[in-house]
Amino acid sequence: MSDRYVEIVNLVKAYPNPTGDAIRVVDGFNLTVKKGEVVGVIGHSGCGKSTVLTMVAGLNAITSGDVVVDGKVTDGPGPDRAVVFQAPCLLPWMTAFGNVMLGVKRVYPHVSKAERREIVEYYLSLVGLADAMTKYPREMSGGMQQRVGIARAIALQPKMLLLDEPFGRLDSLTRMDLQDVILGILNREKITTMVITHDVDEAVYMSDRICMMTNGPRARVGQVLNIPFERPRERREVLEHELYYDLRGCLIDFLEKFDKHKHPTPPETAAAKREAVKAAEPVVAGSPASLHPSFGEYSEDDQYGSPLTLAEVGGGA
Amino acid sequence: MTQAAAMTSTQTQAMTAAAEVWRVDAQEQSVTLIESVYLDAEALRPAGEGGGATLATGQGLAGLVLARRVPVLLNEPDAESFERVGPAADVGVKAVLGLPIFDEDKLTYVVVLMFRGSPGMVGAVELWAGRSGRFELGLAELFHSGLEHFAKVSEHVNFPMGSGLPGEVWRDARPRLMTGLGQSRGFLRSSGAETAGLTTGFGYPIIHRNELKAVMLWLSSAVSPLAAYQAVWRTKDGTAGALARWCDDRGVGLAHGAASSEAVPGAVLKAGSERRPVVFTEAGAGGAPEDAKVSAGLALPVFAHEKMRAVGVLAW
Amino acid sequence: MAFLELNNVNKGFGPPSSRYEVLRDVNLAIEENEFVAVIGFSGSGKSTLVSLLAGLEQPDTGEVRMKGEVVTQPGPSRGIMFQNYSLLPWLSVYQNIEIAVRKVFPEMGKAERRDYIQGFIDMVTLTNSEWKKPAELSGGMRQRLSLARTLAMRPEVLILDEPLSALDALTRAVLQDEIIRIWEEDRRTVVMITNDVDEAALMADRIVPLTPGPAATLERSFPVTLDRPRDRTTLNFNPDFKKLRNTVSNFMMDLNEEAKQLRVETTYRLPDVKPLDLTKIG
Repeated sequence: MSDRYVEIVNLVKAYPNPTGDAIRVVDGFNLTVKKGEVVGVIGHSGCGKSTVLTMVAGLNAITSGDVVVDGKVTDGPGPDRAVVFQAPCLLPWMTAFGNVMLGVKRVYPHVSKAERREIVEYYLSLVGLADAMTKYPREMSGGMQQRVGIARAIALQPKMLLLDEPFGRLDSLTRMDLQDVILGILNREKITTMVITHDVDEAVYMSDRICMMTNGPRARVGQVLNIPFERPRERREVLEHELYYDLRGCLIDFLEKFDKHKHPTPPETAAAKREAVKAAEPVVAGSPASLHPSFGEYSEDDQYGSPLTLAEVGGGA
Repeated sequence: MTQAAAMTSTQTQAMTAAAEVWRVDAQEQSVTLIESVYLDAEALRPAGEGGGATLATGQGLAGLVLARRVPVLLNEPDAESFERVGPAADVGVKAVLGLPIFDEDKLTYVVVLMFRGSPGMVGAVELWAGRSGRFELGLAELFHSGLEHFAKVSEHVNFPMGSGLPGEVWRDARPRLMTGLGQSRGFLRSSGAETAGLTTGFGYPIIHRNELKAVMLWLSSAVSPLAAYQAVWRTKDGTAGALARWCDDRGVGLAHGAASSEAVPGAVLKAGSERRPVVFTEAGAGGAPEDAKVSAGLALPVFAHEKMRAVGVLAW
Repeated sequence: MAFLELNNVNKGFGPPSSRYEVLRDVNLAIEENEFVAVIGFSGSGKSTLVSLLAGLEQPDTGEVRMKGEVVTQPGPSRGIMFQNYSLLPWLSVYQNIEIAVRKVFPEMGKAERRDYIQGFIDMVTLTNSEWKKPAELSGGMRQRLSLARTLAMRPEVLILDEPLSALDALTRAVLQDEIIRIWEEDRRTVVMITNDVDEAALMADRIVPLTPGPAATLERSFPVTLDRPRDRTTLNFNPDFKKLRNTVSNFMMDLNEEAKQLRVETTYRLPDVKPLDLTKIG
């Protein structure tokens, strides 16, 4: 169970197109996440990575596919999946404490007032705001406001933490600082986390695995990179690790490959064109309940349409 | 042999040193060598060939594949898992590969391939397999020459169904040939591959009924191709009669479109009709054009869902 | 004598009783044709630094000198490109550049001016967008226009104030390459404020971190000795690049005062309660 704590199966987001087939922004996103794992999702602007996150959060309707968290198929938003967006959207007339208390009241209606207060204080102290609980958003820097946003999210004790480019608007120093705040919390709380980013260093430093998304429309997982650094992580050690720049290079290469500005022309050879036409054929989606996507790209004369499963060879030979 | 002489006289030496087809007996208790070719490496020919070199389950490389029923790729094998360690070392063999060929429920043949490696050679043979708890392929075993950096990163990369060369082979359940790796959008691990000179990738699925056991990749450079000519033939209805050329066929380093006629070559037809891997030693039997300068090769069929899906050709 | 110098510059605001010190003892000497990147952080006084370099503000003590002359007012010799596009929304691409050119080169003839402006439009690849208004341009195109307008004034020093920080990663990379391509043509002196170490390492000859304010200063500078042209893809595997990047990143982390002040308190205790499982109710 804990090996497949979160399962994202054949997730599709399609928008109707009055002049033709529906536009599939995300087309068959598959991902299995172990309990406590941090998964980074990286891709170019507009590749559909935020669409995936908001669908997982239940904030964006799923066209087809399933999001299963801890054995339950999700349906709409819920406090089991807490989201931190780029802007924390704090209520300006409430203090840091008040902003966190809002969510706490909702998910802890059954505990005493004193306990609720303790919960809020605990999480605000975790993000380094022990001395700033009574501050209003306007009295805090952007980085401090985002700390409140993080405390507000984790105070819900979610099964899954969803971070949507959480530090995109912050300068690099504050960003590094907040990455450490999040990693510090994850070392204590072991929350299964998905973090969307376009920052290669952020992805490598924070994640256990990184999903690289191909460009939209029809975006899906291109490849997955395992990040072998142990936790807890020390930034200096990670930066000095012999593999750091190799892994970083792998991500940069992937992003370069899907850089529309650099590779604007479609494949030219006849064979490549045939391949391209083939790739554009609709994918036959497998049954959402099955974990095994069926074969894609079968022509009508191809009669072997049933799924090919994957043996778990483990260590291989 | 003239062919061996031709090989040594050119500066591009194929990394493949030998190919063998071993037939599994009906009880799946032993394997017997039925066809083989040795490239500048006659010393590798086992003593009992012709009379039929036979290995029992668990004995030697082919016997090991029979016992495990998964592909076995060994770097610098020891005498326990490979019966010809001495001669192999003499001709510069650095790695051996045993491939199980399944037809319906049965393991019917084992293909053995041997690879050279030397400082000037660039190429890789990779075994991709499922990882526990994930619906993704990860690198399980790897033999490479001159690709240290590329290999280091590949170890940490996984592919879901449909992505990258391994993922495409998995999804299509048939061999796949990818040319121009450095520029190809389908080949996602360009890190180091392009600078190292990898140009052509050949992917081959190991399928048991409808289950993917593994995906093998042959990644070749123009200086030392694992196979100088590679092709994929697909069948539309599962019979050898309906075989047709599929995607590119290409000699490594040959100009695009240097393919021979559309007629199904003899070895491919034989692999399809006899439902077995075929080693051929006549030029042209594998369908390579003349300028590919190959004279021997291997036709590898793929069966899934009880039907033949395709035949891959690797020729030297 | 350096081309552009900041000598013991101090700058603050407010009355002496509750004075806010923005910059303290700032020293920087920039050579002619040098590309210097100043890495600044939120609230570190980088906009004050830009204003002083441009002559828009005067230091309380110390001096800013260009070619030996004390800078007392803004002048066309120091061109600034701001991060928030200071374009006139009712004027087209062409007209936005024209207004600046007319001001700096009032004697230029009509035909000559037309060719001159078109040259800069082509340089930043805005050809065929001459008559578009800023609102019709993407963020990246607006920054190109901003750059063209600044360059058209032929400043001797180009001051780039976080020119790319509002852009997405991809557009940012494209514009970094473009700015370098243009800069390579005459290697004008450049001071670029940025918040990104990689951007600085890719573009500059020297990286100077501005310590976080208040009382920000320039403590150290890190020369970038990487050969040009620099390719962002291969740079990742360049050992000198890795070393520089790690050194600058580590230096910056050590500067992080806010992080040090916001210490994680362990005295708070979490009550042993679980949230209500709303998924079961709903």
